[in-house]
Order: sequence, then C-alpha cells, then structure tokens
Amino acid sequence: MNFNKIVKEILGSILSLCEFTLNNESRGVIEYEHKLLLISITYDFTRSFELDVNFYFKANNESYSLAELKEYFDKEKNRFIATQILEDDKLKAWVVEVKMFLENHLYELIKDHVVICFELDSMRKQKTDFYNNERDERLFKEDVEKLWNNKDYVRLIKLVKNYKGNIDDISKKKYEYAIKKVS
Amino acid sequence: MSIVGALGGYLKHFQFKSAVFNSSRYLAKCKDCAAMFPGVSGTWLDPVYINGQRTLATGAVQPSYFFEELVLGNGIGKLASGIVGMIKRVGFAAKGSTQGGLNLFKFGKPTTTTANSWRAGDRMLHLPNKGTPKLNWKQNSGFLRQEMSRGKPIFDSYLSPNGQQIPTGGFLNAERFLLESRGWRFNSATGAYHPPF
Repeated sequence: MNFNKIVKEILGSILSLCEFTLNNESRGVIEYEHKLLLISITYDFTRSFELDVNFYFKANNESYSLAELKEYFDKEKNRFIATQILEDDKLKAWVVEVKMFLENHLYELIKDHVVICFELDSMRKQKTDFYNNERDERLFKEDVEKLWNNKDYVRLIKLVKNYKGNIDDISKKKYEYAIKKVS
Repeated sequence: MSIVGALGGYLKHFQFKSAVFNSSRYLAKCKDCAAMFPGVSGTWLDPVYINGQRTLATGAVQPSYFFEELVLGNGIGKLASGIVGMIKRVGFAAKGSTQGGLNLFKFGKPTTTTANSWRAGDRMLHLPNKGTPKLNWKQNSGFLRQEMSRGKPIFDSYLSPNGQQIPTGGFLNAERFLLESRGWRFNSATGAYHPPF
C-alpha cells in the first residue's frame, strides 16, 4: 500500500496552505508541523492496519485522535471504532474524508487552538473517568460474583474492603453475608 | 551456522545459569546479568522472540540501548552485525529504577514513541506481519496469552497523565479486553495489568 504517497498527495496541499510543513516521515507515519500544532497521520502497516490522525497541541503538550476531534466538532461518537484498511482504494477514500474534515475545521483549530485544546482536555478527562469507573465497577462485580460462587468469603471481604469505587447493593449484601460466615 | 545457533552459542559462552532458549522459543531470562555486566544495574535480556523462520524479532520498539552497545560497553566482544541489527535492545532505560515489562501500545501515539520514562525491561510485542488484521490478531493474542502465563505485570502505554487508561478501539482495546476477561485487573497506580488474585 502506498500510504505515504497517497497521504501526501491528498493532504499535502491543504496542510501547506495552512502553513504546515512536512516535518518527519517514515513508513507508516507522516508528520506535518505548524507553529502551534503537529498533525501526524499514522498507519500500523505491520500489525493492526489501523489508521489514525493525531493532533498534537503545543499549547498543552497533548495529542488527540481524529475520533476525539470529530466528537468535539461533529458530535460523532465513534471513539471505539478503529479504522482498519488494507486496500489503496479504501485508503484514498479515508484520506479524502480526513481532507474534508481538515477543510471544515483546520482554520478554526488553528485560530482557537487554546480554547479547543482546553475543551478537548476536559472532554477527555470526562470520557476517561467514565471509562475507568465503568470498567472498575463491572470487573468488581464480576470478581465479587466469582468469589461468591467459590464461597471464598475471606477474599471477598478483602476485595470489598479494598475497593474504592461505588459498591452496588447486591455486592454489599454478599459482603455482609461473608462477614457473618467468617466471624 | 544459523542465526539462532550462532547467538545461542555466543550466549552459552557466558555460561548463563538458565537455559538460553526455552521451550517457547524465547530467549530465557538471564539470571546472572549482574555478573555479565558488572556495574550495570537493571540489565536483562528477556525475552527476545525467535520466530519459526529462525530469525530474530524483538522486543522494544524504542530501545534505549542495543545489545551490541552493552556488549561493547563491557568489553565482552562483538556479535555479528547481522544478528545484532535484529536484536533491538530490550530495556535497560538508564533513568528508571523500577522494573518494566511488556507494554501494550497504540501505534503512532506519543505515549508509545516517547522513550523518556522507559524502565529496565520495558518492551513491546513486535511480531511478523501475517498479512491481515485477523491473522495478526490471532498471532498477537497468542503471544499475549503466552506473556500472561508468565504472571508478570503487563503495562498499558496509552494512559492519561494521572495514570488512567484512555478509551480507545482496535487492537489495544481487544488486548485490554483479553486481559480483563482472564481476570487480570488494571491498576492506575502502577499503570499495569496484574494477574488474577
């Protein structure tokens, strides 16, 4: 796949128009730099075949993915969908989509970069908290259930005592029962 | 002599206490690295994957030192450059004092490509391309399960500054799911998954 060639052909002109210069290039990674931003287009060509665009803001030294920016600008909720492509035609279509996104938002991205990276950061914090809390709660319940089924009350007590998140009613009842059984 | 044979012979020359190549075709952990590299703390060689084609794969995407540098730096000698070129150095980050391990990664992310905070032993799965995502996942998940069987913490390199996992899709999400479905639990304090209790 001619990833580097296709990306440069399709995105080179718009990025150059907005004063980005080709900063770095290696197989599967093309990086364009602006005084305020770095945009890298990546292709994991030896493993997952995932494509992404990373927007690195110099103002806060943070990088956000295309999915996060699409969520911010277009309210698209596709954070968990990875784009995996093997064929040149599909790659071209994807890069054209990226080009359209840049045509619609790059100017604003540069002009309001401080506000945008602040809001992206806050959005990421919110999403990250939700993701981590949801995972912790789900796995905690699974672990309680497993120990309960194994009648491993000592470990169940220890698990519940050490857990820092919200404990659901069923887990609480199992915990109370386990204490009675052990004492 | 094959590459594997040449390397095996070379390493055996230094009388490793453990077997050089174990049954999983990994380079077995060197238990006497301290003796091998006096004055260098946190050095290790484990694991370098040697694939079915009898070539060497690695290991770390962003090595801090190449094996050759350590060898030369300690006056032990020099491996054939063809071999050394393929053994990307696994670990030995000069700054870190904490032991690292396998790192799950997201291709092209700064958290993956920035080597500042790498610790001794940090590495990533870097396997031969099988041609499709499906085949690569099959291979990748197989090796991840193999790593899980070792029972060592498995680090996640796609984290926010406070150590929380950044939500994502694709291979990394599937790797996280695989670990969690086998009872491994992520700890934001260590930035790693730990084996089931």
